[in-house]
Amino acid sequence: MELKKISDYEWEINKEGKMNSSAKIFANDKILQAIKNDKTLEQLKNMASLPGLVGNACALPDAHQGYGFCIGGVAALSIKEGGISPGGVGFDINCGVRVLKTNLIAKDFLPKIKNILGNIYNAVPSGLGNKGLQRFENDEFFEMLNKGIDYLKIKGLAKKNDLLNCEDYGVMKKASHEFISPKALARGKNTVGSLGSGNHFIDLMRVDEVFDEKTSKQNGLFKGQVVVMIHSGSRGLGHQVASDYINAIMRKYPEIIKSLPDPEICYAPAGSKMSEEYYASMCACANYAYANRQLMMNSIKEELCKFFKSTEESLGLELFQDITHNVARIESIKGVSCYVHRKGATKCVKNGKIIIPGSMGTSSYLLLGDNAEKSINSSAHGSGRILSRSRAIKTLDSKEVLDSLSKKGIMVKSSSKNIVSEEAPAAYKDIDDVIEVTENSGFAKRIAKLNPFAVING
Amino acid sequence: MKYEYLIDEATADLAIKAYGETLKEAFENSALAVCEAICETENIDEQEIKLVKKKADNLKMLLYDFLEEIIFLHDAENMVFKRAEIDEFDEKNCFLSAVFFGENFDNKKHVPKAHIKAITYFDMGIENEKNKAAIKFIVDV
Repeated sequence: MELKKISDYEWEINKEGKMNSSAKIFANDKILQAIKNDKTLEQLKNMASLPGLVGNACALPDAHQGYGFCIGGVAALSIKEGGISPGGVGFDINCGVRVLKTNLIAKDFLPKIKNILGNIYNAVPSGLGNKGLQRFENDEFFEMLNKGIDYLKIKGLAKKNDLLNCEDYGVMKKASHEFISPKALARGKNTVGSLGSGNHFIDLMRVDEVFDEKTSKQNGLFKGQVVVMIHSGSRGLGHQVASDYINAIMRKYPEIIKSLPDPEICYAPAGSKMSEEYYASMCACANYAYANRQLMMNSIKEELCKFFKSTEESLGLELFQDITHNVARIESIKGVSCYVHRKGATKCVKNGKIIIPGSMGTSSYLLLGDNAEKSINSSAHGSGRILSRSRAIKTLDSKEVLDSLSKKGIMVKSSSKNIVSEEAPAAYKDIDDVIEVTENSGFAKRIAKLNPFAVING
Repeated sequence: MKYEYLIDEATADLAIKAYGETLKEAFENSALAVCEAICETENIDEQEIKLVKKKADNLKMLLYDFLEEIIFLHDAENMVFKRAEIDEFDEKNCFLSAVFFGENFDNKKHVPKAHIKAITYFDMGIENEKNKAAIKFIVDV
């Protein structure tokens, strides 16, 4: 496959075969080599072959192989001539990240960290076999799916500030639970307010560097400050909805499946009943995920208040931002209304707040969106894996990983030793390369750098 | 070998190859690989059974539906399984009837491994020759 170099940070695959447009890769040389090691580029070409594609199919600097779409992949499909692809959103619908601010100073916090981490670990359900924080009756559960954080506000579980600092203001308004299968509802109902497993985490972090004093000050960020980052999604609900609709599309549209290089990239055609039902269901899962992260944040706030025998206000506990990185939204791209699929990608608009987490042993960044028109208004969502999970388990000893993190002053609590190996820093690309590409492509500018000192892995 | 986890086939996910003398056996070993990926099967006792019947349009969809049931029962009913036994396997009509053997997950007793989000069709392959069957699939972790 021939790659054309456009600049030090941009590459292109020319339109060929079934592709409807050329595809773009935003990467430096080092990242590009990593991307070439798996099937990312093949998947990117598949994305470019979808009908109704507007602009280019894009791979962001954290791109790696997924299924259907690559992770770190973006494609805008016309709502009139294209369709919506559940595999282009991913199984963990509205997997996302939020940052809770505090006014606590890291150096005062650190001597107490073991107890605080233990309290949070015990308070927020994580790992396998755990139930959520909140039990809902059916009608309440449906309200939450349809209204997201708006519903939690009515229940006294969210404040105005939580809505204002959440993408979509915490509710995707086209949501409806009516098209979600009983199986999917059963998978999600009891886990509202739980972290899950895999790459989901709660990190206690310190603001180590401020790049943009003015914006940091405006947003209540300062050097040495403790913040909490939460990464989770829509749990079994989203997974089952994606699965149900991929199978439903395969049954209903065998001719579409035959025309595609990978069935996982299948789509519900624009204007079809199925496209509308999937979109409404996907929005409901997104609302679930927003509520899920809100409830976990509430529980962390509660633990901090108990520990410090103080109040939310005194401790400055406020949401900085919540963003999603696995969702499709209807947006206008080049004047065309599209389903913009972002799978492992963050919406990036002028002055919008962006969170790009690193791994459990490396920095994360808070950024402010600039001009990401070239990447369909999208930026990276993390560092992106370079080692497969199986390879990480085989080659990275969990004890050695924990010892190495401990030497860096990072304490880890995890429900499984495999997860420690799978999520080890060496399994991921260098976050600084991802940020370098993001900034030099003009997509976003750094506001502040965060470093972890205590990590909970699901 | 009943199954193996393929090391570098899936960057973010888990690639599995399962084998059998028959396709039915390869289906059972695919289920075993999924059970073991979720939780170490050694400590799982066969205290409960779950019966499943699946009918699909083709063999890949049958495999998907069959394996998805393990994930569903884990998420919705907190079950972990030691193995699956297929008592009826109609390859031609893409139908199977099976029993999963396991118990409720107990974090004091069981060793959890990965939370599997879904089965995927990406790179899924079913080889079925005389006296030899192999199935390759990727699960989203």
